[in-house]
Amino acid sequence: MTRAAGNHLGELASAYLDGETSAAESLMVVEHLADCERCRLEMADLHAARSALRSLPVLELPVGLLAGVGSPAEVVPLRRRPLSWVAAAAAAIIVFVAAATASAPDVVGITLDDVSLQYQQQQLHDPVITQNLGQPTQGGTR
Amino acid sequence: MAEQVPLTWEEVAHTHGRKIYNFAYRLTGNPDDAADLTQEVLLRVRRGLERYVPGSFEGWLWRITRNAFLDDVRRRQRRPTTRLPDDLDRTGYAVTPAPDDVLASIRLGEDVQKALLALPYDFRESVVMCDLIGLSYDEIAAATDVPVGTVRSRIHRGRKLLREALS
Repeated sequence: MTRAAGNHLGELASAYLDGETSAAESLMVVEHLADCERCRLEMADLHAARSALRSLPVLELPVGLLAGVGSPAEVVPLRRRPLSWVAAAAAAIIVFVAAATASAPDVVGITLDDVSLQYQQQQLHDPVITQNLGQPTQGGTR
Repeated sequence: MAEQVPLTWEEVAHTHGRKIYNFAYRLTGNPDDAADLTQEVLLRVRRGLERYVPGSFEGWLWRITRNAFLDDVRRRQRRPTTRLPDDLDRTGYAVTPAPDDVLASIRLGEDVQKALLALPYDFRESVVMCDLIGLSYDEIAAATDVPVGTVRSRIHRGRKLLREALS
């Protein structure tokens, strides 16, 4: 049996509201409430809290959510992440080269423009990169 | 009596998808996070149905839902925030002019949602499962892997905190 709070109902009060008490517990709750003003007030508070929760609107599933789950190519997130791995790799290269040119500009001898141009040329001729850029990544569930 | 168990993920989505989404929304307070989480849960259901051993389907399903949520929280390395959606339209609430009683109802709903998000996670989870999803204490205990007595305590304390926050 659930412990009561001192001489009061405590957790039994919520359980009773939910019909989760045994017959013996229910009888004890009813008898206690008849004589205890404090527990009657607490029961009213608990009931009000439960009613407030139950009054929350039920939300409908967003349109298109289920289609993503059912596709053979795993889930398609509703919010696509803006960076594909190709773009992330390009960003990493640029950051690396930027750091290198900043620390030793005369030795490296190439510029960010060179890297960008090289990347664009590679992109145009690399079927994998072209395909990935043309078709947003659909893998993973985050 | 043998329990009726949905056989396909589509049936699970049909019978439980909306509940899962509402559970996720009430725990996160964010419609985008709730949508992502619902997709993740249904995907796990789709993958896991073959291995499902008939028993407490509700317990199985909500344990998946809970684990997906906790995995997401760990992945983000943060607890669910107390923010409310900026765009009420995305929550399903009406944005067209509404009668005063409807507006009052929406405001009350926002207050309740705020109070809910302010609860400690364990309390919030149990209260939502009980009062919004309609699970029994036994089902909540199975889903959250704690004794029924702990569920009783969490629901009771959660409601008391909610009441204090709303009064």
